[in-house]
Amino acid sequence: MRFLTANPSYLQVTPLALVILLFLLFPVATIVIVSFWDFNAYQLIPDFIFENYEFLLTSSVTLSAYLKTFFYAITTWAITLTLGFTVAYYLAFYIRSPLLQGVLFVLCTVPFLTSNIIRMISWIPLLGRNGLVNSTLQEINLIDAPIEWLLYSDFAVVLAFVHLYTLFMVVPIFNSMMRIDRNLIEASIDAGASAFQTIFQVVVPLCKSGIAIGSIFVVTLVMGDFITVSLMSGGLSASVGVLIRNEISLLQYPAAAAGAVVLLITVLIMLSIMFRFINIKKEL
Amino acid sequence: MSFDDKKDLKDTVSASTDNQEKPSGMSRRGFLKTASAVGGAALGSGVITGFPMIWAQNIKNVTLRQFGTGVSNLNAIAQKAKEDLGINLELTALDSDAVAQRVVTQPRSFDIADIEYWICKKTFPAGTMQPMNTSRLKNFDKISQLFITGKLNEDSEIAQGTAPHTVGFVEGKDSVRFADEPTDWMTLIPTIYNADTLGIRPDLVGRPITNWRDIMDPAFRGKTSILNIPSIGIMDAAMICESMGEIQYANKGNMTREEIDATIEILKAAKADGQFRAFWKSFDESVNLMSSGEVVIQSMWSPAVAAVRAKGIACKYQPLEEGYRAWGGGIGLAKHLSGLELDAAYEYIDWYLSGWVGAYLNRQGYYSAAPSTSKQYMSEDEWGYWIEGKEAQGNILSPDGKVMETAGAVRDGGSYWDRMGSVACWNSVMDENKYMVRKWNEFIAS
Amino acid sequence: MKKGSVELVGVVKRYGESTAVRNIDLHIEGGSYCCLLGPSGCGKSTTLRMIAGHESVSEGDILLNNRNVTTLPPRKRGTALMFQNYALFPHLNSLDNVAFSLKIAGVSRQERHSRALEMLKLVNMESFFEAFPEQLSGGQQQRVALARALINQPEVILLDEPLSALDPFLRTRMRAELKRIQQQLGITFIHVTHSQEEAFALADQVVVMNNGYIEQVDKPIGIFSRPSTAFVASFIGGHNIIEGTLTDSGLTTGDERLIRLESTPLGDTDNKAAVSLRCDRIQISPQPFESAQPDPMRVESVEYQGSYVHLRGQFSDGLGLSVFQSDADYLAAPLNAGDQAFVGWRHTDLNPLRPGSDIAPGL
Repeated sequence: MRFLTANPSYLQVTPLALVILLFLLFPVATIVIVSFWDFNAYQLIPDFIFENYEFLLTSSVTLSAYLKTFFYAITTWAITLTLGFTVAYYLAFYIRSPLLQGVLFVLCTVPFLTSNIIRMISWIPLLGRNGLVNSTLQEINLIDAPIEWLLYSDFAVVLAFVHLYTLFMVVPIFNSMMRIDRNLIEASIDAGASAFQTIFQVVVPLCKSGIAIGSIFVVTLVMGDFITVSLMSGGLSASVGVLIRNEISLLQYPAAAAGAVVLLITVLIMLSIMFRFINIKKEL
Repeated sequence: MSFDDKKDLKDTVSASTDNQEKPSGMSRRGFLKTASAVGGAALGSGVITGFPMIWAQNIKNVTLRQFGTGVSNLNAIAQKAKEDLGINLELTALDSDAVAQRVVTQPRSFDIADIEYWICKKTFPAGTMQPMNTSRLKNFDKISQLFITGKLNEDSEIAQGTAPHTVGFVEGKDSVRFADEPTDWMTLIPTIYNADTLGIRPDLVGRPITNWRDIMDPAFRGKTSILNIPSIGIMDAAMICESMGEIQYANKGNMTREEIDATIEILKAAKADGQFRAFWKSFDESVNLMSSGEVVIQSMWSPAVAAVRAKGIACKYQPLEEGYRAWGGGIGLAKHLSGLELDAAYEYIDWYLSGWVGAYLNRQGYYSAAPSTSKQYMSEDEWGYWIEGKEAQGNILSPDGKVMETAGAVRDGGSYWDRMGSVACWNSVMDENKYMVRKWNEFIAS
Repeated sequence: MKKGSVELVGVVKRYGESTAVRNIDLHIEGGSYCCLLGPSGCGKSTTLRMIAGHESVSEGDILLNNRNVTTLPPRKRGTALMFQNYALFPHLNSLDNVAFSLKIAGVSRQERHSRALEMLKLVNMESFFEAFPEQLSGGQQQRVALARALINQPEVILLDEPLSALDPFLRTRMRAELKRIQQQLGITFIHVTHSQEEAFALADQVVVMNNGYIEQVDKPIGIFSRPSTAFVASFIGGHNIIEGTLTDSGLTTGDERLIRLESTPLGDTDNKAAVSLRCDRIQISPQPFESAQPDPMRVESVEYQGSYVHLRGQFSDGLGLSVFQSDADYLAAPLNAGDQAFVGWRHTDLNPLRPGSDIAPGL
């Protein structure tokens, strides 16, 4: 008691600490524990075996799923970053009126008024063999046969990811850009910098935290995704999330837990690398 | 088809409020085979006497908790049971994996389990269920021979996989060992079952489809699909590989590691060649693939074929030379049931076999466990269309009154005896299930 | 002509309908310290930004060293702008901030750092070369900003309210620093400010602007002793403005009071006119004296200001005057609010004003 009265700050963090303990640490700990259990077709068997990890870490499926997932994450990240930066730059530096800025910003979020799944599924009639894109291209005689790789392909998966997650890049980058003193741009021009030099020497470094936050959003979302990959690839490719989900649907919880733990560690490593580039506290 | 699709169906397709399922299976073609020729005495003498039955009065208001995959989301059955028997049936629909887990791990959470036969194979030995005494079932002798001896017709071959009759009986009241011969102790009373095959777009395939191997025809490169549910997908794959002459399985329902490896290799090679347009996991995905023309031949479930046809698009549930992959489920009793509740459960099960439910299920394109009793509850035209494979004389309606087919239609695959008589393999769970699932993932990730 | 001369010829700046700068002509001598002085919104910052090249010119020309630079980009002009809030790049340390333009120009890392360090030495900031802007005080940031402006050896440095963000003590010190560096380098400084104190302390040439016009260009002493318009007189402070009607012998104000003038260069008789009179050039005493106005003024307020006392008073005919009395005189015969006092001045201290733009609001 004396300790608490002497250190009221401990008392103050108690509620949050309890919430984190209950809703974050406890579930994660459970997953870690279960990942060492054994299982058969219908039951989990409490145990302490490394078989789940052994299989996971030696299987070529894991490797190919991780390579696929990294491919999706990196491609999506590069495209959303380019797009998101461009959109944010336009909004922040070219639109002078705050009102118009607000309107355009809200416009960016309009697609988000519908659910993820709906936004994804709506690509299917567009990209399919007899979809809008193919039939239009055929009608104007640009192509003879339908383009097959528009749907159920890596292209379709990345397209859906970009569509789903670009806004997660735009928002933090836009936020960073709005904090940039406009005089800095003039100072850069005054120093003789071209528009591109200004962007890369001044704007990009000053948006670094926004870029990093957006990147964290996009990369973690893509790394953990299973629904976009299975829907847009037509089930033809498997990301790490898809594998985990398959295992869950077959009640192979320990295997799924081991997969989740490895994925968690992978993402944490990726994040810690990103955090090295920025001081996230500055942004929050 | 698996029980899983029932849930998908309910979630995605049927907008009707009463949880009715869309019936499956319609046809243009087929040939007739009379019921009596093969059904023999069972059907010939199968007239229910003493109808309407007088059900026991003391079970009124007993509540039975039934959960499962198949019929457990048909509220119409619960309503009718209340009407006829006075019992309250609480239905909970779950997916098959969750059902299996609950049977084993939470035996007191249910009174009646609605499970598939291959699940039964794994769960019954856990000792959480009790077998039914067939002598307490007035309608036991009306149950299709498929579930008793494994042979629907005299000349049928017993199919591979978890054929229902192999797990249909145990050796005694307290036994958990499956009996080789029919005994007085039955594990499950069959509820719904069906025979699955490939669905095709007759307008787009451009040639007759006669074999499972046709899905691997290079002419259909990039226009085929199989389902991405490992336990069922592997069976379809086995049908295909065997049809191609690549692999001869000792038992498709219980493959060895070598057989699994060989099957997966063939699938991987086909995937690398671009043979598959997509893999589907849910009912609606298969409907969309087919109706959009993305694929022209794929593994499919009967209600999905009906759903494609409902859009006015030609789709056929193509019977194939090698036969069907069949699936089936049934209801069984929880170990803890006793006394009045047990009596009520027996009454309920006997009622189940007495015809109304069977007719209801027949109208959905499934098959009733006791076909002869259900005949009383169907019109001649309905019986002719659904069971005998005859040309429809008038409109064929679904249980909720929607027009399924009009006069002149014939069910794909023909009669009950044609379809269920040529089952090549039953859905099953393999001893090497864990290995198989990992190999399947390898295939998907390849 | 010395290097770094700037000339504005008929320069106009419009933003849509409104005009920020109206037809300015100005010559700034090379190597001089010029202050653009005026209230906010007078167009002084716009003028500076036009010289810097950050604002386009609507009409007219800007010449640097007799070279027309009106349409050149900033870097091509030989000017360097120092921003009001310094605009140091937060992601670069002092050295890299100073070296930024060299980096843009592709100068090697080693060379640009050694040159940047030289500049930091000039502003006494070499020991902070690794510090980031957020680690520096306002005054230190300003020195770095100055070093950054100087690194390209511009002929003209443009300073936009450089001292306004500093506390008064630091402001005085930095003021001296700016002047020292300007004299040491001998380049032209054009400095925008709204503080006449700053302008007087620094400038060789003060340009008083109002409402987009130049009101007066002169040395500080000229501005203070002979403000040319009522606006200038009131903006720089310390002046009384007396308005009236011209007569043969002077200016008639209020109730037929005649203010005698040395001469009447203000125009025809019967015209409205005004003169300014420095507050510190008014003699005040409880007793009448020779050059005093015939009637006494009623003292309305007395404010002690240290070296002087500020008295406000009003004649019975309504003419009000501010008087700065030296504290020695005040202590000899202290006046209190409500007292009657006689005031007087030399005719030569009356400074005729030409009609200018209106006195800015609030002054």
